Amino acid sequence: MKIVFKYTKLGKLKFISHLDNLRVLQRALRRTGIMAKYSEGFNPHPKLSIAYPLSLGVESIGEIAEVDLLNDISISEFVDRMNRCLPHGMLITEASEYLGNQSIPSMVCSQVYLFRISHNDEESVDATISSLNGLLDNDYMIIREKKKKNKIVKKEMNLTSFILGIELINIEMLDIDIKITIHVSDSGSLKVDEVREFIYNSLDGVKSIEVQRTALNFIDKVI
Amino acid sequence: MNKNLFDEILMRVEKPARYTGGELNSIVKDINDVNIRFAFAFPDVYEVGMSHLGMHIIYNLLNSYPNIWCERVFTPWTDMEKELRNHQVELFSLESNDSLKSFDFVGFTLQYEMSYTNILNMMQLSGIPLESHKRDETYPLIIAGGPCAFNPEPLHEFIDMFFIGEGEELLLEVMALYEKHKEGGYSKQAFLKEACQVEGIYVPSFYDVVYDDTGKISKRIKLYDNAPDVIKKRIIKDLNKSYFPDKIIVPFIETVHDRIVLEIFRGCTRGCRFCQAGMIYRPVREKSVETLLAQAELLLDSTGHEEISLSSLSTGDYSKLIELSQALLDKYEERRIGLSLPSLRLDSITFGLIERVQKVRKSGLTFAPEAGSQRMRDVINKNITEEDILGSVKTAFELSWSNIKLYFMVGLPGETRDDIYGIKEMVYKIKDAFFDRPREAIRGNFNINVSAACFVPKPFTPFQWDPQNTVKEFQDKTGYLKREIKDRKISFSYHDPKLSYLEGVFALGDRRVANGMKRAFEMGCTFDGWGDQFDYDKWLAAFKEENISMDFYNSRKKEYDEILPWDFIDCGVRKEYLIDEKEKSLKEITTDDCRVNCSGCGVNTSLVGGPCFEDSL
Repeated sequence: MKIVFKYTKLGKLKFISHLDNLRVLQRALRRTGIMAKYSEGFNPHPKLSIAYPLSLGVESIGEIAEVDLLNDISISEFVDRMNRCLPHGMLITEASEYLGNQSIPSMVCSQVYLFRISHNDEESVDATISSLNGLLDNDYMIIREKKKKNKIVKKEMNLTSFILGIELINIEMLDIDIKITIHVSDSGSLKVDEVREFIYNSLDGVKSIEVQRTALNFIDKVI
Repeated sequence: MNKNLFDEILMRVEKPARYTGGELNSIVKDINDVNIRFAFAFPDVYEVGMSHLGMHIIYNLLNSYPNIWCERVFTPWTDMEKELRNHQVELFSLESNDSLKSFDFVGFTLQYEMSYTNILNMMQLSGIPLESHKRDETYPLIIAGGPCAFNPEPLHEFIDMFFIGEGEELLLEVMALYEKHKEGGYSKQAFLKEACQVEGIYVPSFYDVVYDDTGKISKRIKLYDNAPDVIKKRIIKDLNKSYFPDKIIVPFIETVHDRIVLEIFRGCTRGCRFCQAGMIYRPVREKSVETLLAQAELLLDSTGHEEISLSSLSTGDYSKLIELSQALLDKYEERRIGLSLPSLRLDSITFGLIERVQKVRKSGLTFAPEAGSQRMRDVINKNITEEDILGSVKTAFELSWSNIKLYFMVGLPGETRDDIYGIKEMVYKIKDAFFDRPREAIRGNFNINVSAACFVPKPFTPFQWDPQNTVKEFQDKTGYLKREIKDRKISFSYHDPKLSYLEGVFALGDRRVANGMKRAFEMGCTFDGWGDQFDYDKWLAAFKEENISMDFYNSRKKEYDEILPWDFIDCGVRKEYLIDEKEKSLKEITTDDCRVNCSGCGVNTSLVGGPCFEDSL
C-alpha cells in the first residue's frame, strides 16, 4: 500500500540535506518495524521518496513524501508509530493512502514559501505594501552558472516568470509576511536564495528575511 | 553564542549537521542536575569520530550515571575553524553548545598519531592553554586514552593524565574520585596525586626523564615520591558483564560507517609481529552469542540501522562465528538487515556463510596477505601461505566475485627486492587464477585493488627496536611496484611515505618530540592524516627549528638494553617475549597461534591470573 504523508522539518533539521533527510525518514521507518517494499537491483533500498528537495537552511511545515509499504496498515497507526520514531523537529501532520499510479515527485507543479520580511522602519513597511502589487510587472533577469565538462556555461532566465503569485498574509509591527508561489516544471524552478536576493533588490529598507516552505502543490490530489 | 550568529555560520560551512547535535539518542541533561561535565573529544571530523565504537560506549556509560553529563566534540573542519576564529567563538560541545572551557574533563581519544595536532588545535580553539602546567583549577582536566596512549610521552606536556588500557571501569573509578575531591574543595595537584594511585593512570608531570650524551634515555626520575614506577594497563575481565549501550546516537549525515557494531571479542591470538593491537589488547576475551544477540536486538530497534558489523581484530577467530552469524541472519534477513564480516579468513566453512550474507547485501572481498613472499610472511609471523590465498580467491571467483582488494606492507624488517617483487607475483597469480578458467565461467568486470602501506614500527611489538625505512627507501619501493604493476585490470595505490615516516616519529618518540609537534602546529599543521592538508615541509622546518632529529627516533636500530620511552608501561606482554619473537623473526621461524600453543607472552600470569582460555592446558 502506498501512503503519502506531510511532515515538518524544523529547527536544527533545516541543516540536513535532501539525501540525509531521506535517510532519516528511512531509519525512522525501520525503527517503527513497519516493512517497506524494496527496489530490485544490486543495492536494494526501501521505496520511499521525497516529493521535492528543500534547500539547506530552510525550515518547512509542508514537506511531502511517499512510501510503499509491504503490508496494509491503518493511516492513524502509521502516523502514530512514525511520529514516535522521528527526531525532534520532524512530525507527520497529515497522511492518506495513495491510489494513483503516477509517482509523487513527477506531479509537483509549484512550491509555496512564507517570507517574513523585517524592515528597518515604518516608512519602509508602507513602501513595501504599496509596491507589492507591481512587484512582478517587470522582468528580473538572473544568471545561473553551470559547470559542463570543465566549462562554465551561463544561463539567463527571467525570475518573475516563475512566480505564480504573491499574497500578503500578515503585517505586524515592522514585519510583513508574504506567501510566494513558485512554478515547478521540467525546466526547473527557483532557488530560495534567488528569491531572497530578488526581494532585497526590489524593496527598500529590508533588514532581514526569514523563509519557510509551507506547501507543495500537485497537478492532481495526492493527499 | 546567539542563535542568529550560529545559523549564519552554519549556512556558510560544508555539512553543517556536523555541528548541530540533536541527533536521535543524543543525551541532553540539565547542568543543575549534574556534578561532573565531561566532553568526549575526538580529534578528527564528525563523520570519522561518530563511526568509532569506543566513543559510543564511553558516552552512554558516563551518561548512565545521573551525576555525570557526557557530551561530544569533534575537530571542526578548516572552514568551520575559520568561522570560529573570525567570530571569536570558542569551540563548543554538540549537546549544550558550551565552550570546552566550562567542562570538568575534556577526554581525548588517541586512535592514531596523526591526529595529535588536532588535539592542540581543539584546546586552542577553546581558549585552553596547551601546556598542562599553565592550567590551574579554573580549566578542565585534559585526559587521554586509547591505543596511542601506550606511548604517551610525545603528548606528556599537554595531557594531565593518561588512561592506559580499557577504560570502562577505570573511568568510573576516576569520576568517583573526582567527585569526592570536588566536594571537599578541589585542588588539581591533590587530585592528580591521588588519581595516580589508581591502577592504569599515568600522570606525566610527576616524572622527569634524563638523557645521556648520545641522546638516549638514561633514567626516569620521580618528582612525586608516591607516583608508581610502572603503570599497568587495565583490562575488563569479563566482557559479558561489562557495560554496553542499548542505544547509540544515529547521525543525521552519512558517516564513515553507518551501521551498528557488535564487538565480538577483544584481543587476538595470531601474534603477527608487526601488529601493535595484537599485543596490547591481549588476552583474548570473547562475548557470548547470547550477549551479542541481545545487544544486536536493542541496537537495531533503537537506531533503525540496516547493517550489523561484527568487529574484532580477526573475525574468523571467533569461536562461535558460524553460530552467531546464522542466528543473526535467521533473525534479520527478512527485515533486510545486512551482516558485514570484516577481516574474515576465507575457507570452506566461511564461504557458505558469505554466500548467504551476500543475498541480503553485496559487498567486496578483501585479503590482507601483508607481504608478498613466503619468507617475509614468516618473518612477520603472518601464518598464511600462497596456497591459502590462491585457494580462497579461486573459490571467490567461482562464487562470481570479480572485484577484490589486497593489502600489503612495504618496508618490513629485513625486506629484500625479491620480497617486494613477490607482491607483484602474487597479484599476477591471482589475476591468472581468474582468467585460467573455462570461458563460460568468466563473468563480471575483473578488477584487483592493490594497496601498499608503509611499515611503521610500533611500541610493544617485536619490531619496536627496528629502524623504519627512510622516505627515500619507501619511495623507491612504492615507485618500483608502480612501474612493475602495469595492468589495466589492476590498480595500485600506496600510502604517503612522508606521512608514514612522521607517524613513526610519534609512535616511537619520547618527550622531546612534543616541542616539534607544538612548533608544527603553530606553523599551521592540523589534520595531518588528511592527504590534502598534510604539509611535510612544514614539519621538517618545525623539527629543524626545534633542533630535533626525526631520524633519531625511527631510523635508528635500537639495542635490546636501551631504555625505550614507553618501557615504564606494562601492557602484560613481557619484554623477553618480544625479544624472543624478534630473534625468531630473524631466523624466519614462525610462532603458533596462542590457541594452539601458549607462546608464553606473560599475559596469563600478569593479567589473567591463569590460562587465557578455558580449554587450554
